[in-house]
Amino acid sequence: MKKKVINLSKCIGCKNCELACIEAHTEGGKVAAYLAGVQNSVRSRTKVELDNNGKRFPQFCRHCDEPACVEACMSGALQKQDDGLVICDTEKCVGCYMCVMSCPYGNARPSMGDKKIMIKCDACTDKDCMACADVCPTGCITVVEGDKAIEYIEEEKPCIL
Amino acid sequence: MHFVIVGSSAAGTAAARSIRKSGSSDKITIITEDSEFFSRCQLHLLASGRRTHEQANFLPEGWIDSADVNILWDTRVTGIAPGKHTIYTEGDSEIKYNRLLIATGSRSWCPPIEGIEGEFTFGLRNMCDADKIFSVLPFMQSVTIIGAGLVGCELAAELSAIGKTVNVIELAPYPLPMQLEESTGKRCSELMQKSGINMYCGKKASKIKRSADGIPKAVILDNGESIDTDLIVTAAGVRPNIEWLEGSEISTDKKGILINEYCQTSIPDIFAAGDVTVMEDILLRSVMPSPIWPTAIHQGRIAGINMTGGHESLTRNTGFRSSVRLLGNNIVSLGPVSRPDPAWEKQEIKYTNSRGQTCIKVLYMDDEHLRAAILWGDITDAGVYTDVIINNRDLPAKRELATSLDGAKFGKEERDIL
Repeated sequence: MKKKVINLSKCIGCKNCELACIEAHTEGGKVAAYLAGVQNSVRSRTKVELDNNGKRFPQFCRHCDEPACVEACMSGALQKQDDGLVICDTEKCVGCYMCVMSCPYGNARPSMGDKKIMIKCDACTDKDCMACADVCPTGCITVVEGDKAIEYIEEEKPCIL
Repeated sequence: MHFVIVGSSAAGTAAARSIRKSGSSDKITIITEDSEFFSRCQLHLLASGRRTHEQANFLPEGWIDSADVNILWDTRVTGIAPGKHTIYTEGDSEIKYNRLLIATGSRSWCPPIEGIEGEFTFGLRNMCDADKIFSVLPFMQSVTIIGAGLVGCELAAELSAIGKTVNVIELAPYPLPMQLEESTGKRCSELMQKSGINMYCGKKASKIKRSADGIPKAVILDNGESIDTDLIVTAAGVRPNIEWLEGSEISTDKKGILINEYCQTSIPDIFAAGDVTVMEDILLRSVMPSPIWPTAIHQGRIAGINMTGGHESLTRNTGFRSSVRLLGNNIVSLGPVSRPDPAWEKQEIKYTNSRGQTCIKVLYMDDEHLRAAILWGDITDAGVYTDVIINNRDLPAKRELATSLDGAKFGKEERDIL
């Protein structure tokens, strides 16, 4: 399967991954809603913020082995698939947000806009890209073949742009 | 080996899934009073007609076959003889088990109000309750809901949205008294009132007036006030379904079956999970039910593992976690906000987030830790708050950090709230 590797030393906090995530999950692509100035209707499934030590930390769904979001899901929308990915069936989701209340990483998020559902990383399974990795200018986010969905690593040498 | 599970909701089905996941191919029989699988948390959406039976099924399509379970629908258990490893169902059928899971849940409790028994008075606990409400709604204009907990408030919002006149009566001074404190409670009351729901908080229903043919006419409050009504829904609490265990030596208290951290009852080959159980709550340190969906699923999963000979324990058992989307407002309540320790310091923060929403955080802290929280408006990082509260995490820069927790704060560290 595709494995996302995040090299924390290389994050410069440019937030290109956030924008790419929005674009990949916005109907019509092209960050249409942003261009129209309707920022409230779109939301990234990933986020770069500072950790406790003031270091940039890109947050991605961990696709946990025992996912708290799946245990909390009362509609059956969230399932841990055989391939290891945790995927939300957006037709089944009723937007109770018990998953949002339960994900200790803060990676299950309420949607913005009219359709009140949860949104999360779907590993771009229905696309031939991995939006966040494709646009990462520093090689912080890369995709390799692997047996789990995601891994965080830290290299000694930070990338200097 | 024959695994018998009584109950087909969150805990019962989670146990069956967990037994299969543990690698067992032994026979599993689920006995249930229900006629189909349905998510109890969606009953208000079924009562209003927003969702169908099919949509309320929380299991994957074809689950009965893929999980290879034998299921007895519409079947009521009436007794148990643990010495003989036997349970009895209506009509005196006997079912033998090797390991038993009791996941019979709880039922709506009808408060003792004069005239409450009769036509057009329903609870909202089972699919048949939702069906009854939905089927009579076209002929009803005014609905009175007794109890403003999660069920009462969510139903009130649903029925108000489809144009009904909705009255809500609540003993406590504000709605969601288990989830909110005074200031957010008042805000919630105003929100509901502004949406056209008639709120009667701090009031008690003392009598139901009915016509000669038994149809509800009005609810009379203890201050004499009269509220015209066509339909009454009681949402004033629940009682555990444990009567059938009488004389069985399975330890129970008034609120349910006592279980240990392995989901075992006082009889080792009998397990219990979900709303029918009581055990110590890690946040309040009191033996009580944890009547929320995520805990029922978790207890069911742990029970299933242990029924197949595993050794998993419940380490963070608590029911003090609620999320509700009420009239367009996201609200998450964590920890015993309704019964805070007097030593905790309370802090209320009002702010406008980057999307222009008015948001509120009510935080309860002691010297070292965040103990309870209410998030209103922006709940994006609610799970991070849950982790901090349930896992009793030290906050490096305590107060400052508690006001602005997000998923990045603890970096790549692995976290577990289960």
